[in-house]
Amino acid sequence: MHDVLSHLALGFSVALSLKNFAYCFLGVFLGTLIGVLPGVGPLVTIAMLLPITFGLDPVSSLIMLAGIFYGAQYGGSTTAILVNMPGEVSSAVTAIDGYQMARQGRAGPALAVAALSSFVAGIISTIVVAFFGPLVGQWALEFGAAEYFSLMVMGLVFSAVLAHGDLVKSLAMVLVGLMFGLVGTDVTSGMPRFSFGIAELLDGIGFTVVAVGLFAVAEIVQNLAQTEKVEVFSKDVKDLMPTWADIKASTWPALRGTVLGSLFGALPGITASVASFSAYMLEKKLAKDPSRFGHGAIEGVAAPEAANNAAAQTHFIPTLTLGIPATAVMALVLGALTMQGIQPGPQVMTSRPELFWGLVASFVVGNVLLLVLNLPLVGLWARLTQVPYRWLFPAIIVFATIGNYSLNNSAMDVYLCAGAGVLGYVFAKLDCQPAPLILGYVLGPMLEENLRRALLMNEGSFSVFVSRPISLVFLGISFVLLAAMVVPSLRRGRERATEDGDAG
Amino acid sequence: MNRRVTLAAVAATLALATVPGLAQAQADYPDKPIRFIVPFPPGGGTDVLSRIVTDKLNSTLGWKVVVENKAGAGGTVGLDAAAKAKPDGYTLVMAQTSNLSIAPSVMSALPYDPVKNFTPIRLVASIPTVIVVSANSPFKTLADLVAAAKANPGKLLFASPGNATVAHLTGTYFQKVAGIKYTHVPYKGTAQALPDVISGRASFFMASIESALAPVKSGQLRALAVTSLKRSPHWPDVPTVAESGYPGFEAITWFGVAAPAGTPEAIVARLDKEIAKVLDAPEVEARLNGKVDVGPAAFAALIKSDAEKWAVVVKENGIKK
Repeated sequence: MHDVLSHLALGFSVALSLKNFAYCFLGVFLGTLIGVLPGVGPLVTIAMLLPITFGLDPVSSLIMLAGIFYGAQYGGSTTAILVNMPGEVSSAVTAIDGYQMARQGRAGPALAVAALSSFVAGIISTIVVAFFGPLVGQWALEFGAAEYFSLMVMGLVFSAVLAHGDLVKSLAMVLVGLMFGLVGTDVTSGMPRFSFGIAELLDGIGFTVVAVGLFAVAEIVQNLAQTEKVEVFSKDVKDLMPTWADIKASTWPALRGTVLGSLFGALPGITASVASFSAYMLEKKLAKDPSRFGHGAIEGVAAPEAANNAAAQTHFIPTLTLGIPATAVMALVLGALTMQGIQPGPQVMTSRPELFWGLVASFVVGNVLLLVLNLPLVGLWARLTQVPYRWLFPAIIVFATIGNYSLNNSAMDVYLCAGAGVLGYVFAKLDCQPAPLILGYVLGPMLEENLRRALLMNEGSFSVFVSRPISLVFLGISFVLLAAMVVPSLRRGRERATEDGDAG
Repeated sequence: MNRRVTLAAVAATLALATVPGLAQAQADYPDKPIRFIVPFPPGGGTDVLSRIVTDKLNSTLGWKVVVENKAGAGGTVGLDAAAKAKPDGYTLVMAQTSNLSIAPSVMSALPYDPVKNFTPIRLVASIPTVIVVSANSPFKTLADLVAAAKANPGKLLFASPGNATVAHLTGTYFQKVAGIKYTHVPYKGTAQALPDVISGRASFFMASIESALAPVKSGQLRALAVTSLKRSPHWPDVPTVAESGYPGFEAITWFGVAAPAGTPEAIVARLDKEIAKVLDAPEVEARLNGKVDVGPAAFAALIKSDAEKWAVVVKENGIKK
């Protein structure tokens, strides 16, 4: 304890030096900017800046690169809320309720709550990294194929409650999502599936492509279908800052999102979007009135934003303490460190304390800077929603197209996004929610891959799922949840089931 | 064109750039930005390697070589774009073993012909695969691993960064060479495999030396052998597979710059020379894990010999991508 505090003091002395403070500011500023701009993500930015960082000292370059990464998480929510276009993969969930809030004239509170939740999550997850970094790193190593599989099962069971209304429809949507997830080369056998001989499909369909199509494009088409509707989201932007009630409603969701995000961020086998999705699902499950979700529930902004920022920070745990990058961005950071002659691993905290603790302290500095940068901008952004539809809609489509094209410099992604847009419109007409589809799409491939790997590594025996304690706990929770939902629903119908599920 | 003007231009170029006796096409080259296709996403190993080379070309020669990431289908989408580009020297591509020597035998409908559609220019890096085990593993040497595999056929778990990767083919090839059998467990990449390897859930792992560098140096993994003919400058104490009782065993991942087939010879020669100079620069050499000196002809021969070697492994084991 005392150790950590003295280390943090060292860290702050590093992070607050004029030079590193400047690099931290530069990093978070760039991050916010690219997060807002569709089509430029942290990955591309860091890849382009990497050669420049070789001239810097390792601590400064790490502080700046990290700032870009978590700064982009802040900025990514801005476009998600304002134009329903997730700037970053992890803010796709924020778009669901954030955009609805913007349409109701509450873009200001949505943006402010997103920034505040990210800030709270940033500070708390920094404490997690500081006090439990190596411990969490070791815990992450315990996760093998069996654990990941059972975790995904739990996620899918939770997703059953993501449904508004019709359970059958939402299960069907999860299945459609699972099927989308099948497209591409099978990891285990190397066989191409549903790629129809198209080389671009061998890698599967990109998450952003599907999300932008289903949410942003479909939304626009739907709006165009209504001919004599209002020209702007809302005649007036009501309040710029969240009310006391908004803050109160967001506090617990943000804290729960932080916990989920911090845990998931430390697991190298989990993709960025899982943390924010899980946080969203959890809030929906806990809410007194789940039907508000999808129609501008502020908890639906607070929880996923907290989760994605917390995960962005705890991603550094496996990267630094184990040398295992959880995401492509982390792989770049790892590469940058290796080229500087630093070997990430369990010893990095003792061999290079100024690096590890300087980075941890810079998280705090960076998050404060981001809050200061973002809050005053809320008013400016919120006014953007006053732009008439005839300007806004073409702009969104243009940005979405540029964004999708620039992911791989591939025209195929633009076609797929358009296709997903048409599909999203059809689903809307059929009153089917796209959120469960995205969930099945994200979890399905991970579920399959880990199931098959677990079996492959255990000579085809299913016993591994119950013989490993962490896996057993996840399966147990899934079973209880499922029982709590299914059993009463057989007797009393689904209305009561949701309530019982809350208790269980 | 006016002959005198041409001569003057050549003379001026000679004086300015001290480039000896060149044809006119080359004297002007490059007079516009060069598109450098990287067939993988930004930030991956191929991308970083490419940017080291292009940055150096731009900073020393004042050229405008622009990296264009065109990822997809294990690099074949980017290679295909290069194969179909105009062969005027303004499109280059960073090709590697899997695109030119493995793809033809594992992909059912490869849109390009690795030999007919490309002009190899120069090899940039040659990276051995490394065989690693958990620090807690009972295997201290490659011989220990082979003995355990012989005693329990099919029981050892061989983790690889993916199907039809060089590491996977190397591991499969080694089964035949050593007369052993183990179970292949493919992952989506090195990062996904490392937790299982470090914790010992997988018996051993093969991957490119770069990706295993950090956990080996930090003591979480132990390197048993490298698959190059000579020891790696990174780890002079790690033996090669060849010297561990399997003479001649070699499996490397190489990266090299290529252009579409039909690119003028003079331009190929110029690029070859300039890239060779870049590779000689000490700061570049330091980052590239040892220097390679393989020009157009030797590069073409390497593509061919590796393609033949891997085709046999793929065919005998029914490997798919």
